[in-house]
Amino acid sequence: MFWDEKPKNASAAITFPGRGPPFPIPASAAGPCYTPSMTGPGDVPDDPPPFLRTWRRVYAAVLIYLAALVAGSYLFTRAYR
Amino acid sequence: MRPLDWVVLVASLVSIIAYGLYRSRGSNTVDRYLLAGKSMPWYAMALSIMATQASAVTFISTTGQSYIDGMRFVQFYFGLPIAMVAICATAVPIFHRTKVYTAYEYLEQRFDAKTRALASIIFLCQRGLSAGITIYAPAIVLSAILGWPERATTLLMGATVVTYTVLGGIKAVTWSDVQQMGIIFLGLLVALIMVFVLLPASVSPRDAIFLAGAAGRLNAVTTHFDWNDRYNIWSGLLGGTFLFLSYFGCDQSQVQRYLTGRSVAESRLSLLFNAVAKIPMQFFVLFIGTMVFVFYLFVQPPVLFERAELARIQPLPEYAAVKSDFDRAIEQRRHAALALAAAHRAGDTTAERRDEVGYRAAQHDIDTVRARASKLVEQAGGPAGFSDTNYIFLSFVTRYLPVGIVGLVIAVIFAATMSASSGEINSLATVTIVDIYRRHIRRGRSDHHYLTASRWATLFWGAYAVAFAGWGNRLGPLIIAVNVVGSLFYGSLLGCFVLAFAFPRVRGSAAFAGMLAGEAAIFWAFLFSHIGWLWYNAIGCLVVMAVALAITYAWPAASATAERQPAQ
Repeated sequence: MFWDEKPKNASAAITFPGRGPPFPIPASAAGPCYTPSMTGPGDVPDDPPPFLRTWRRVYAAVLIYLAALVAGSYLFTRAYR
Repeated sequence: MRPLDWVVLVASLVSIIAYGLYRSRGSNTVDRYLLAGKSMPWYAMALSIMATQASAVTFISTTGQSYIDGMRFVQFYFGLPIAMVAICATAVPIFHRTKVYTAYEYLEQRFDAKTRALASIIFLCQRGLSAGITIYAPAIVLSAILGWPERATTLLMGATVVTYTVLGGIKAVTWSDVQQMGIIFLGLLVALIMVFVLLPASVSPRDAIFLAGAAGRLNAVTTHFDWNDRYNIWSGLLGGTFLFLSYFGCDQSQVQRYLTGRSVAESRLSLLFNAVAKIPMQFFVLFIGTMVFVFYLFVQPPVLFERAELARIQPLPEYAAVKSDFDRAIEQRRHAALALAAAHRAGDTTAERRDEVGYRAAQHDIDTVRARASKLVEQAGGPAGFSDTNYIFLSFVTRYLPVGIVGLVIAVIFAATMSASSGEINSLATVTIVDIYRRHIRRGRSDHHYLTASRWATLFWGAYAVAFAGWGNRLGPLIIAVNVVGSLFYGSLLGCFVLAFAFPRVRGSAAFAGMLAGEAAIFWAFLFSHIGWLWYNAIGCLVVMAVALAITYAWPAASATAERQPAQ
C-alpha cells in the first residue's frame, strides 16, 4: 500500500529557529517522482518588513489594530443602541 | 436589465477574462502554471486571497443578514487578524522554505505518505463539494431576480471561469481576482452612495444611522456568551481564530495564493493586508445592508423579497390578512421613524423615548407578519424554513438603482462568483496532480506531461463544478447544509498542521490516528450535540492534538524506534 512506503534518504533533516530537536524528513532526492526538495533555511531569505523594521513589531501593530477595531465597534454599538 | 446594464455587465466580464489571460502569458511549465513561478507581488496576492474568500453569497447574503439581524455578523471576522499573524509567523516561512506546491505535500516531508494522502482526500472532498455550490448559490438568486434560467446562469459563469483558469493557470486566476476585487469595491461603493441618494430629502445620513441603531441594526458587538449563538464576540475571537487558522493555513485554495509570492516577506504582507482590510470591508458590506433597511423605512417593501414565493402565496385566502397587517405596520413604522428622527434632531429626549417605543413595536409587528408570510410559503408547498434573506439586496438593486448601476452590481455578483470558484478549481487541480497523480499514479514523467495533466485536471474540476451546480436544484435544503459541512473537515486538518509545526516529537502514525479521531469527534458534535458549527474547528483541532500527543508520549519507545529507523 502506498501509505506503507518510506521515502528514501529519510535522514535528511530540517531545523526551525527556536524549536526543539530536528526531525527526520524525506529528502527530495528520493526518486524522480518525488515532489520538490526540502532546502535549508538559508535558501529562502527572510527579508525584513518594509516598515517597523521587524516582523514582531508588525504583528504587534496588527494585534493592536484589531483591539482598536473591536473597541471601536463596541463603542459604535453603544453609541447607537 | 436594460441595454446599458448589459453593456456594463458584458464589458466587465470580457475585460476580466482578457486581462487575466494577458497577464498569464508564459505559464508553460508546471511551476509557472501552478505557482506563477513564485513571481507575484504582495498586492496581487492580497487581493486574490480576499477575492477567493469572498464569494457572491458573501455580498448577497451578508447585506440581507444585516437587514434582518443587524451588523453582528462582523464579529465572525474578529479572529481573522489573530489567525493571519499566527500563519505569517509559522506556516508562511515553512511552506516557502520547503518549496512545496501544496500544503499537504509538506505533511509528507514532515510526517509520511499516508498523512499527506488523508489530508489531500479530506481537502478534495470538502472543497469539491463547495466548488459546485459557489457557482450554484448565486445562480439561483440571479435567476429568481432577473428571470434567467438557472442553467444559463451557471453555464455562463462556469464557462467563463473554466476558460481563463484552464488557459492561464494561477497567474490568470490571481490577476483576474485583482480586477474582480476592483469591480466589487466600485460596485459596493456606488450601491452605498445610491442608498443615501434615494433616502427622502428630510432624512440625512446622520438620521439614517440613528434610525438603524434605534431598530437594533448597528449591533456590531454583542458580549453575551452562548455556545449556540454563532455571532458574538467570544465565538468570533475564539471560534473564528480556529476557523481562519484552518482556512488560511490548511486550505489549498488559500495557501496556493500566498505560495506564489516572490519572497516570504511578500507572502506575509499579502496576508497582513487581509488582516487589516477584511474587518472594515465586512463592516462596510453590512453597513450597506442596514442602510437598505433604512431605505425601506420610507419606501413600501414587498411582504417577501422573493417574487416566486410571493406569487405562490398571493392566491391563498390568508394572504389578504397578512398583506393588510403588513401595510398597516409599515405605515406605523414610517410615521414613527419620521417622528423619532425629528425628536432626535430637536434634542427632545421625552419625545424620542416615546417614539422609539412605537418604532420598535411597529418593527416587531413587521417581523411577526413576515414570519406569518414565510409560514404561508411552507403551507403552499414552498421550501421548509423559507427565508428571503438572500433576495433583499438584489431586489433593492433591480428595483431602485438607475440604469447602468444595475449592470455594475450584477457584474459584482458575477465577479465574486468567478473569483471564488476559479481559486477553488485551480487548487483542486493542483492537489489532484501534485498530491495524487504525480505522487501515486504517474511518477517521473516530464514537466510537459504534468502541465498537460494540470490543464486537464482544471478542466475536469471546472466541468464538475458546473455539472454539480446544474444538479443543485435537486439538493434542496442540502445547499445550506453544505456550507456547514465544510467546517466538518477543517478542524482535523488544522490539528495536523499544528502538530507538524509545533511538536517535533510527533510522528506520522500518531498524527494520522489523531486526524481520524478528530474527524470522529467533529462528526459526533455535529450529529449528537447542539454546539454551533463555528466551534467544530476548535474541537477537531484539540482532539487531533490530544490523541496524537497521547500516542506519542504513551508509547515513547515506539516513537523512538521509528525515529532511529534507518532509511529504507
